[in-house]
Amino acid sequence: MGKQVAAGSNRQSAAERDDDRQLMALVVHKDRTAFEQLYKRYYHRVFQFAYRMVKDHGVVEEIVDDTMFAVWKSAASFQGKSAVSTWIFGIAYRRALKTLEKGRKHQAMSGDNEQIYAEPDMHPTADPAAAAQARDLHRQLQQGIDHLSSDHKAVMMLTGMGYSYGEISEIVDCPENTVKTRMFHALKYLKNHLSDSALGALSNPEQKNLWTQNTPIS
Amino acid sequence: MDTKHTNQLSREEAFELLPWHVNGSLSDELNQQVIAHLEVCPELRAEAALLASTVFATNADEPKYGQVDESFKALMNRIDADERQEELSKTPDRPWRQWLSGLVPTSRWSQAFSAAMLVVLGLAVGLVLQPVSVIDPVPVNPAEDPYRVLAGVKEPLILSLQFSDDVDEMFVKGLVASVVNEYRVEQKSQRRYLVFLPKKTDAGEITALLKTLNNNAQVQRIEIVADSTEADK
Repeated sequence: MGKQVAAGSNRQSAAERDDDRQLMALVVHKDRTAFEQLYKRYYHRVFQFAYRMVKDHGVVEEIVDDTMFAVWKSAASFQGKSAVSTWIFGIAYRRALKTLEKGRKHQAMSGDNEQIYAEPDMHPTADPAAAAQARDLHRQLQQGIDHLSSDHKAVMMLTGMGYSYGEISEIVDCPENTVKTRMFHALKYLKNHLSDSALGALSNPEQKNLWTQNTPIS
Repeated sequence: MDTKHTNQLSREEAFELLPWHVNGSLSDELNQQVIAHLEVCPELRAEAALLASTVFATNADEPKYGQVDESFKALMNRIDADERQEELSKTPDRPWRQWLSGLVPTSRWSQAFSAAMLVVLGLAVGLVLQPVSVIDPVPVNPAEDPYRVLAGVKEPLILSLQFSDDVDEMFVKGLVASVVNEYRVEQKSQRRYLVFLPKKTDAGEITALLKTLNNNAQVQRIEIVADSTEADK
């Protein structure tokens, strides 16, 4: 397409990216203090991403642990071609995929596939009918997202976390056009998944004002 | 509406970039171009509304985070253990380890040890359970001196007969009964029978039996076995 997305746009400033690189340069030389700083910078972000991918608190800590262990062990292989953030998230993505693969086998054996969805907080002054409609939309969207394939879900989650499609293509290791195609198909699936009333809620001009917060991108 | 005149982005391109307009990761320039499309296209606005709700839904479910300090400590313990293991693997091998590594790769040591233990166990069991045989099965060639092959055989004598075709027990009994009076026949398969001869069987009778068997076209092989256990082999 030839039109480039601004680099490093996942709410990470250029200064933060530079800090990451400096920390990585020290981690390559096994500097534990630098590693601790890097760990604390990424712990919550990787935790959040892993949780949204696997939706299982029991294994999320393990994914974070494995991801950061791999960062420490293979720091020397970081060539600096991408941002530290996308490199770390790429590792986390692959770990999450492995966990999901294992989980699918476990789920198939145990039949444990019930998911409880978080209720969104509504504005206190919201019209009760509109609020109910919005809650229904929200629940249907969460259900739909949970039914997406891992690849489509990852693109959706990373977009939700503020990553550009260029960064997502590095994280999930596929061409940018594939990222766009996955997003297109994920949205198409979600639209098909939504009921007429949920789709109606989308066209309600009040709908976007019902939430107590705007899109909370990490 | 053709927006190409006022916008470098086509509508389709704006449609494609919409998710990243919603998440705020587009450059200012691209963002402005997408906004220009949004202002004139209701379909694009509907898609943007879906995206905004979707992004909200993806972010609404916050995890219960662990304790970052505790998690870091646990990770450092794992790293320490891993590094100790690496150090150990770097220490020079003792001579016996080097010799053994030459025979079996270190990664296969546990399998090789298990296999060796199984062999030892098998040998031990074999020694305990091995049947006491008097002699190995001896092929008989009655053209030679039958007494020579019988010399080492203790009574009772057991002959193993292998037939070229399926035969029944009556057939075998008929063959044996034509020469000896006391005997017992045991069928091992359609083509294999054992003939038990008592201790008192006369050597002449045995010779005659061996000749009779040897002259029968269906008898393929005759062996003398020491006892029934040996015959079962």
